[in-house]
Amino acid sequence: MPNASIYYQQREPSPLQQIWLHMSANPFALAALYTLALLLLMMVCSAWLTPFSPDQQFADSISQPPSWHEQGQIRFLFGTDDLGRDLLSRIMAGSVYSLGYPLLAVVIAALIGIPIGAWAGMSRGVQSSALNHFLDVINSIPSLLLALLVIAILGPALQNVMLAIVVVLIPQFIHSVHSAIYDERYQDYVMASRLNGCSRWYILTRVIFPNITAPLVMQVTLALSTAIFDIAALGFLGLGVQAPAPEWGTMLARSLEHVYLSPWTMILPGFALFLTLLSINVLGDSIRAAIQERVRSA
Amino acid sequence: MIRYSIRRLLLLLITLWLLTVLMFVLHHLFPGDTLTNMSGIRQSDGVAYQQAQQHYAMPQSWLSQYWQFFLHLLHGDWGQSLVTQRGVFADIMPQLGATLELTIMAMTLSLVIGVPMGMYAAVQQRGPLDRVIMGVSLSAYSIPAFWLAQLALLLFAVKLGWAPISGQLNPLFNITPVTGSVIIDILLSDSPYRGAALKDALQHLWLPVLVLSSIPLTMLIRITRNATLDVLQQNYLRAARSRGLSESRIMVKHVMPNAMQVIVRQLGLQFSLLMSNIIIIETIFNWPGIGSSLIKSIYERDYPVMLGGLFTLAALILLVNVAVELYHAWRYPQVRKELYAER
Amino acid sequence: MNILDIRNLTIEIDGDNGPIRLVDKLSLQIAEGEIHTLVGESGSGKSLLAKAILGFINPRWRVTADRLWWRHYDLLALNPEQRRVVTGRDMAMIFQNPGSYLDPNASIGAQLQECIPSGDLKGLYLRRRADRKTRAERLLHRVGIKDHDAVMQAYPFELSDGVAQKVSIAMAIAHNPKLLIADEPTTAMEPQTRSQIYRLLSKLNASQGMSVLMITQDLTAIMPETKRISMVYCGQLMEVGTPQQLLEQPLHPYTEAMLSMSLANHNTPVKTRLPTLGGSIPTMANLPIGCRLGPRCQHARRACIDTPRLRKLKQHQFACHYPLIEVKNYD
Repeated sequence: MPNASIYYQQREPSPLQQIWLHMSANPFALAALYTLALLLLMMVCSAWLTPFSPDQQFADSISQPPSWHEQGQIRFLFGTDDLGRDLLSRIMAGSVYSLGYPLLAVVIAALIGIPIGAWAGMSRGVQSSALNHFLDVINSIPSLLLALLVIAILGPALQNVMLAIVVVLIPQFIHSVHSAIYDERYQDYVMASRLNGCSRWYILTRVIFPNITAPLVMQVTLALSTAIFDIAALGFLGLGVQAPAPEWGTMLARSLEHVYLSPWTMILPGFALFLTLLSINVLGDSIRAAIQERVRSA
Repeated sequence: MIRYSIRRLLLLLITLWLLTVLMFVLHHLFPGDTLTNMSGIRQSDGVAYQQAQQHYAMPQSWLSQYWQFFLHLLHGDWGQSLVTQRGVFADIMPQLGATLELTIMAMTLSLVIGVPMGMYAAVQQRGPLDRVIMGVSLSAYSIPAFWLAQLALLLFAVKLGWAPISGQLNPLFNITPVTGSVIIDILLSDSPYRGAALKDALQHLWLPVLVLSSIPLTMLIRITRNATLDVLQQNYLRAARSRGLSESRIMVKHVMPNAMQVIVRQLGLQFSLLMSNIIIIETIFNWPGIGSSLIKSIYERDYPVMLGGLFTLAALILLVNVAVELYHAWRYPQVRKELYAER
Repeated sequence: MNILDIRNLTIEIDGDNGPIRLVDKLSLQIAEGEIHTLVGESGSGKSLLAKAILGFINPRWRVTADRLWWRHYDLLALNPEQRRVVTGRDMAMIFQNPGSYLDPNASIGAQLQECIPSGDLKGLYLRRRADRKTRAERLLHRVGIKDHDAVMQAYPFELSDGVAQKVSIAMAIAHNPKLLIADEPTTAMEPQTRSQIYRLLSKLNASQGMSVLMITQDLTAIMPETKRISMVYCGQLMEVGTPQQLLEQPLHPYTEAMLSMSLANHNTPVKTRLPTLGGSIPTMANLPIGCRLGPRCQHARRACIDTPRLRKLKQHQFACHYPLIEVKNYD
């Protein structure tokens, strides 16, 4: 395309814009983004969108196959489960438990973890190295194991699961912010603004922070995928959200007994979980790839 | 290297010690009587309970309580199960064997398949096969392990009948668990049907191993691909090419070792991930390992068993992580420079 | 006789507004046993030229040339595998930051031994191994490293820049190349180390008849044994000549500017401005048409929007419409 302005000067896009440019060039990343947006929309509007109440039992149509099956009915698009509850409504309503609550947990954990991580990253000396080792240890213990520990103390219930997930995610946030800051704070440009006499607060918020947004975004997607998986896994093990609630993991656990008769009660909630995790992972992965691409081309 | 090893092992000891402190605190935090949680002896057991009170120095200060608890732990006296009244430590060891059998096989499988596939994808970068491998691995990575296990069971065990649904071995073979690992147990036993038992054990084994290896496998493919791509862009590879070395020699002598460095560093993390999946997989396949017994103990509020399992799993993960780190520092000397450098 | 003969080599990549010529019709001839220096500022495409000769070609580049001959091989006609055999046998390259061109996970000894062509070795397995090792040690001696055992066992991160550069020279000369391309080998080094490397290269040139293509930024810090100098600016060849011709009577305004800029030989009176070339090096996306020096050249006139042809005056070549002295008998 010929350029209209004669005194044309190429403007370098800002780092975040560059990452966005790299990402929007990738069709899979965009598809994942839109899928996630749709899922979020569905989650927010699930109370109005569900065709039936998720707990309503239809005694006349128990274990109804999905509508594309020969014996299916269009009334129950995804069929019904062994108690005659509409699967579509349950999956939609379940997104609140399986996507909404993890999202909430991630936000809370980020609000607590990021400031602590920033403080830890700016500290130095023995304090910093002890903290580093401690965080390494916590991070090497799988999050599910820690969540199990919290559940074992408090007993299975929705609020305890939330507490467990938040408690598990906080060290992850601290660790990633800490190491991101740790990597940046010895760079020459930070040294330069230190020599300029900037305060530590200014250096943290104005100098270092813009440079660690990308790893932070990545950590958020990672934490979200961990939270969704852990809540579903706890539900599946019967230690999370308790039975009548339409949580996807709980639904999967329930389907275990009659998977031979009605496999769709297992396949469909699992697929919803898979789709959610896939779109988040693809998004996180393409953000990581875009960051790498930007660093490489710089 | 020696300095680094000592430092790392010391840290491991400190961490393990902190773990025992955590356990001690948890015994107090768990609902119910602390001594019952610790020893597994109920208050209704009059005499035994009083004896245990003395053994664990119950009426005395927290410090001496902890000391007694620590000594018991060291001696392998981890209390007894509240449900079965059997010794926790004696029960856990064969379970550890069963868990390790699954873990080692899954890890080996994913390394043997994942690393070559990742390297192949990297060499074919942006080729059709690379896209297929990457797409499949990213999707497989997003499949929750419990759903994958259910799907696999539905397909292979129910529809096709290629594998039994659950368990470790047909109980008819009557093999006494010694190490917990079925294969080793069968080989150790003098049963006349060893061959048939081995075949049966392998039939039970292949599906859980396959499902379990899916997560580290897909991760390893991705890590290997990225590491290899990174190495392929390094200057020293250009220099090696300019010297006229053959492509295969460059791959084997220069790309592989450097890519492996990144992979080895990630192995500890992969092991941790595997451990969290094994809890679920063991429960679904009814595998008599630590994970399934841990979940069972949480249902039954069997605190001595629960803490024993948690401690064993956590210690195992820490040990493996430290071992990986030590190997990494020993094999790749330039890492040590970063470790020593004071920033 | 020229062992390397390049005519009108062009390297293009695709930019946002059409193709960008990173190297524009560059010609270069190197005779056997000659030390040729290529001088240019950063971004002038001199490293690209070296990479194009060796065949490290990024798939995004389009490399075309009227002629790219190495002795009697037409390099552009060979397939990559054949080309690597030819260039690997006859040429070698050393680089600006030598540390990054050594495999960080292999000891120096292993990498050095890898470079020794196995055809030169005699005897059976054990003999060959011992032979390989002594040859590697001898190579280190030849580049002036006496403490061969310590260096052979070391890993690249343990070496200083100077030693690493010596090691990479040792690796480069392991198979007795006919041409050594040195891409700013001393730019980041202290003068002391630079002199050592220069002395080493000129010794190798004298004793083995190895041609050297030295790439550098600084016209005044060239090797004393240099036979000819090529000045490059923004991918275009400006002037080619012997050091004497260029330093005493440059014909191209760019060469003159480079000379007057260098602090070593200016004799400006006190309190005058130091001479510099106005403006800055254009970015890749905004290259001027015609003679690319045009916007910064004090002698530029209207004709300069056409790219000047390379003209010749007694082995002194220049590409300028308005050379600094009146030139009549050129062709």
